[in-house]
Amino acid sequence: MSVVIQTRNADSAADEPLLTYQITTTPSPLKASPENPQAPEEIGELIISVARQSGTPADVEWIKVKVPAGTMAPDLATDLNKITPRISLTGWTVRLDGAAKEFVCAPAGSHAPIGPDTGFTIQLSDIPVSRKVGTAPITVTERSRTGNSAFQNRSTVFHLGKFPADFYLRNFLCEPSIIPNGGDVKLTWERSANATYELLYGDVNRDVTNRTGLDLEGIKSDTTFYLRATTGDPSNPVVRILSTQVTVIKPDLSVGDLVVNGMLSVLKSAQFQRIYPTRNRTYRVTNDGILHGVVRANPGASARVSVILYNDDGTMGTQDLYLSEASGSTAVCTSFTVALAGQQRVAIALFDDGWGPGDARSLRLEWRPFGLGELVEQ
Amino acid sequence: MSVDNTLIVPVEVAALAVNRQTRDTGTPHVFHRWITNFKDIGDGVAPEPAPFSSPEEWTGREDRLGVYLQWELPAALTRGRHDEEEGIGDFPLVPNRWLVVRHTDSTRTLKAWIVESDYLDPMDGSVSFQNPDFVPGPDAEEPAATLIGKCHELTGPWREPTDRRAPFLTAIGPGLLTFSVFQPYNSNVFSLHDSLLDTPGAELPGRERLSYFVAGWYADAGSDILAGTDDLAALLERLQWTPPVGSGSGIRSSVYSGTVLGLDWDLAGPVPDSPCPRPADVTPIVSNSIAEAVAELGAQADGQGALSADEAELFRAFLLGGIDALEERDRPEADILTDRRAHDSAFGPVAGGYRWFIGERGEETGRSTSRAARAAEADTVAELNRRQAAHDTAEAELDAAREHLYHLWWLGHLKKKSDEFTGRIDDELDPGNAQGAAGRVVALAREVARQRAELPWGKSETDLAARIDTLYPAYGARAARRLIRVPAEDFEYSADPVLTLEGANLHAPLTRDTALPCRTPERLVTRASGTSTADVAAVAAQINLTGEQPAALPALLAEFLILDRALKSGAIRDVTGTLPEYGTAPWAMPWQPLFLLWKAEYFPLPLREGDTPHWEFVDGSRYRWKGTGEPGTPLVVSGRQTLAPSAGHIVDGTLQSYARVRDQLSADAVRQVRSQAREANYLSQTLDGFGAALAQRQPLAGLQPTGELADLIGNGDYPPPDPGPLKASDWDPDPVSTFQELRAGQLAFLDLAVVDRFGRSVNLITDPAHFAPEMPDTMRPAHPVSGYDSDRLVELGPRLLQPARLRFDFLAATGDEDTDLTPGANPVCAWLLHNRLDQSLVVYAPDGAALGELRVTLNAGGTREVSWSALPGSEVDRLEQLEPLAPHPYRLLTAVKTRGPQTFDALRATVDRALQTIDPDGPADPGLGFLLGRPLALVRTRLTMNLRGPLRGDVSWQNLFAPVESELPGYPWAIRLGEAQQSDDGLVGYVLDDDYEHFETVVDPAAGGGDYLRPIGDRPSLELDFGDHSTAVATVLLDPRAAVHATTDILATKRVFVPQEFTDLAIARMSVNFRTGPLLAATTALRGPQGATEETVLMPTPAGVLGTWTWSENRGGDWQKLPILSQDQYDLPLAEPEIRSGFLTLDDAVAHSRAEH
Repeated sequence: MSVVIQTRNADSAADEPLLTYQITTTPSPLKASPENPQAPEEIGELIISVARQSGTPADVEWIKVKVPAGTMAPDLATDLNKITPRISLTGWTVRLDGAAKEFVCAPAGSHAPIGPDTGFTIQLSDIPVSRKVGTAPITVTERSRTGNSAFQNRSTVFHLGKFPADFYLRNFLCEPSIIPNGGDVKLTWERSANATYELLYGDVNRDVTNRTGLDLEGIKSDTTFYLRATTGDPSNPVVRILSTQVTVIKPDLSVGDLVVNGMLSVLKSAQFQRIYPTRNRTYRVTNDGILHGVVRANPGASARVSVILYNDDGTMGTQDLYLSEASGSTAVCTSFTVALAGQQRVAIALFDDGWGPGDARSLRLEWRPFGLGELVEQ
Repeated sequence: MSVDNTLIVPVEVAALAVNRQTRDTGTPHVFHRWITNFKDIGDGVAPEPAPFSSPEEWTGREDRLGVYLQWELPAALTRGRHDEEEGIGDFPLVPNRWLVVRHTDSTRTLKAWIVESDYLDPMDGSVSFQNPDFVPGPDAEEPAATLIGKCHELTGPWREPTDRRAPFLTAIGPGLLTFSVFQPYNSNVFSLHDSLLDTPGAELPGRERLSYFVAGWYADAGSDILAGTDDLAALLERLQWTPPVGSGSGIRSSVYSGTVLGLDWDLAGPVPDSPCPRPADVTPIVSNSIAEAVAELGAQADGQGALSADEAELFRAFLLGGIDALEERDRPEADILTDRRAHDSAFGPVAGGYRWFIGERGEETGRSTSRAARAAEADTVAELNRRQAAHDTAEAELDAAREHLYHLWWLGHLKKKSDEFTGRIDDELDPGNAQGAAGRVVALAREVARQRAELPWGKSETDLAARIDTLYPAYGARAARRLIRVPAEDFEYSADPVLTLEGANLHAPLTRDTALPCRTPERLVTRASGTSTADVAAVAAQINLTGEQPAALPALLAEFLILDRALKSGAIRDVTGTLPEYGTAPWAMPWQPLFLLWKAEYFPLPLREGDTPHWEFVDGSRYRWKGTGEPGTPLVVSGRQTLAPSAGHIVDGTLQSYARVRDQLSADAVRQVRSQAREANYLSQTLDGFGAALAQRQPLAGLQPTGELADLIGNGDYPPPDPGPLKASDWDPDPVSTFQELRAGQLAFLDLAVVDRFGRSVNLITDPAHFAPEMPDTMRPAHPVSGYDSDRLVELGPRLLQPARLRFDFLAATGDEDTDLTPGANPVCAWLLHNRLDQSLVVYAPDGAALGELRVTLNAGGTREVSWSALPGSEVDRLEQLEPLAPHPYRLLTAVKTRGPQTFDALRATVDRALQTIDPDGPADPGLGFLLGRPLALVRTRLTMNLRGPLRGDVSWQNLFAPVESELPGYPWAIRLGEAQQSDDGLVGYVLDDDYEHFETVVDPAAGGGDYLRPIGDRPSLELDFGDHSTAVATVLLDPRAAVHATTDILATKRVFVPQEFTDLAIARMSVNFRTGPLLAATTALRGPQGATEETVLMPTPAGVLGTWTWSENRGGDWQKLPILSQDQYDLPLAEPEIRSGFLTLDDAVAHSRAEH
């Protein structure tokens, strides 16, 4: 199980931070403080792990962490002055800029390189969490550059939820965590009552508000399940998302570009059929593959084959004709190859016209699906 | 005579051994270290982080392990000048090269480094430093910060860098007073971290005996503190360095040397022993003043050897009031006095301008001045005082305007500003714009300059005298009667609360109070405990000291190795040479407290809403929150104070002054007690900056302008403003101003730590909710602002955040002119004396002449009434005749007379009751006391409360230009006059604001007075504010021997005396008349002392009463005063007796009734 923190990166790639930031909180999730202003605040802690995940160092002038403070739902803290900020990077300091509500981390010199293997944390402790349930945007801005280019501000925004004190959502488990293709899983979680819950995976979005578990069948591919809890004022709801995964052995795959640098092995089977003169026979393929046909005319005969490829909507697509004429003493073969996408239909006819006897002409179809599949006559 | 020209100055070296336990332990200490950052100083950002902010990460980090060495610069090199006018300066250059050598005992190997203290490089240096080339300003080209200090491993001969700067390094480095003592601030400058890893990938040694040698010098011989001096002896005397005997006058260079011997390194061992206290052994206490805190601690201490309750009270009184307080312990009101001192010790004075008077030159000559000349003088002084007052007011206004201008200028440097600010700032800073802040300063400065031109004014006595001579030649320095300027009554500011920690080893180490013994190279140790230079030569040869270094280094290194070996073998003995002052004792883990860090949450509490007060005046002396009203937004306030052992010193000082007047005390005993007191385990610190923070000021030395603005702003040394947040997010409402009209609220500490020079810290608060400091009862809230863990809360009663004063002026008896400004004006309206024998109230004129008396008589109808009758010498036959002469006594007496005998008797009884406790000089003559009370003066006074300068404004962004109307001027403050229980308070009662229908009495009035007599009580009706009702006039009845106290919690207790010039002559003149007759007595002519015949009455006189008795009788409207001869009753009558009615008059007696004892 892990927690999903919603982030919003820069609009353009040029503004993408050069450092990567990960944010965790203690407790997780943060608890909003009691509404009674006399009651002591709930104390929280924010740890931002920063790293340079690149082969070259980044030169950084400062990193600012903007923490909204006040009494409103998007405010994280009631008073920034109570927070103890620290940075683990030697030679750096962190201070509060009260006017801007920012914690400013800066090296003691003018700027400092953060090398490829450098990782450090920025920690905000003793946070008096604000008294309103809601989501607080934490903006991390770095002023950085690579090489000798100009310094530039680059931001990331993290959305941190502050939950009612009695809210909980935890132990989101998927069992078993490894299944064969098409296997079943059981999802379980623990939750409090004061929120709505949705389960999201693939393109599925299910309301599971009143449940604490769910059985799912026929999982064919590796799947990440997201359990989303929503509570608080609808104008600034607070969302906590937990995730868990199932790994499918030999899963169904849907990939984008596929570049294989090693061996690719997809032709696992073949299906053969010999056809004598016939009117259109329609076939459907269960999956992608290559249909290879050889039109044979025995000596003194001719053979003509029509191949019609249908569109997805059932309309006729292309029609191609293939002809073999054996005017001499040897048989003549003509071959054709069409690639068929899964579920595509194809109509094939071997005409009984032309010269020579009817059985002097034949068509041999060889269906080579990618992986396992069938050419099914309809 | 020695030919050495080098002085070896001893330095103390502290070595902190950080093994894993030391690094990670939670008790008694944690590591709390922080570094400076000068990067944003141009934007007004302080180089030191806020307290508790940005601590270094230590737990679990292997790179923090090792030995931290810090050498302490000799005190002479750390002293500079701190001048109000010109700031910090004149700090001497300090040694900028330091050789550090480590000796590892098991292998006898040496490792050496050179610390190049003034190495500067923004990427390659060690700690943050202000770039010497940085010039603040909007067009600053150089970055503000760089890094200073570098540690070079010494592998060959040391070569100086070729591109080195002119020497610039001083003990305060970039301008931080703690730069040379807080190790994280000066890594590789005055300290070094020895990681103990000599080769890459090496492992830390497990156990080892390590010793260190440190030697420093000036890379540039010309900047040596001893270079080029003409008078070496005087220089060394000033530095407090003692050269060895016979060292000659050729010394022109200095080398600084120190050692750490036998550091016991144990990687997996425990935390080495040190005096670092455990948090549980420390008692924190919050109070109004240091004295109060110490007193409270002394009083609260319990356990073995502790004081009994009585002793504790005595000790508390002594600490707060010294000997005077001890003297007072016999008096019934001793506790009141002690409490008042505790209250008043929390205020400090702020100069309140000047006053003028014309005085006799030198001794009083008694020469008389004509009435016309007196009148002229009076006019001159009155006019001058008026102008002076106007000037002082304008000066305070100029000060406020300058501060405002400074604030605007400073805020202009911030990166983020409000749009309104950005739009207006140029206009505001333009001196040509009369409506702007700069323009107003220009106008006010011009006005003050104009006033100064017309006033005698000068920065020095001479200037002032010269101006008096010019402007008022008639009253100049040579005149018989001359103008004298004296400080006017001070304003008072309320000091910040004080936090005191009691517990061992918390105070800062005391500075050395004797001269530092130095040596020359020929005095160095060459042999000790059987080890000689030759024995250590082979080890010493590991280090190449042939580079650009002082010639004395090899001998110092040899000495170090000899001493190390000698100490290891046991004690250092059989020494050839002179042992250095420091560093010969075995190593001990250092604990040198340096900072007190605190962070507290302050809950502002409203003073009142409309007519509903939320604070009540209790115990007649202080305000207490009633638990009503909505608390304001809490503020977090923090501070970092450099420690001083001051609480011990306060006790010491009190003891010292006590001992001075007590000669029978044994000198030894005093010395012992004093030394104990000095080292008393109190650490007491004012929470500096607390009030300033509430007043939206930042506790730092801010950037200062240059050029024209600098001239306008002057040397005010204003702290930068804290305007609070801007609207930082779209959803933010406009930020609430943090402006506080007053300090009135409750406080809870969030964090509290004592940090030593290496950043070892004793954290006194682990959970703020459960931190309950000790405090005086007056600070314990009756109604905690929060019901959660209310023990942590401390109530801070209302205090003004700007200087103010309560003035108590005397007014002329009839015309209410200021007696200060109107020479000759007398505030005494009349004198009243209770004649107990006659049961009458005798009235005298201000000069002591008897006017008449009020007494109960039977009227024609046979009913008792209060009536007036004239006394011998008086022409006031009817009370109404008094009105034009003395309007206020007339109105007072008329009110009593009209109300009849019951009220009259009640008044007399009340006066008597009040007099019982008015006894500043001990009991008066008992015989006379039976006959009459003491003379009481009826005095016209005026009470005024005022603030210094205009009302403090809000500096938050939204109110910077448009001040919100403050409610402060409308807040009434209770003022309680008099002190019933206290024998040195002379007040009997007063009539407020000419309301003669009521008389407010200091004691509970006797029965029968109806609503005429009203007790002042604990909740006085007299209230003043700083607005429209800042003045009250009172006709006060008092015994002028004693002061009148005005108690108002928000200011120190005010204490005034009627000047003796108005009382002494009158009292000497006063006679007492006892109504006598009818009686039979004869008169006869007797020769008086001058030989003339006098008609003398023959009658007995009361015996046992001091004074002169005479007989007064009215003969046809004229009062005749005849001497008396007490005739022997057995003699024949000298003359025929007649029946007489008249008065037995006692002269000179009243003075006796107030005889000095």
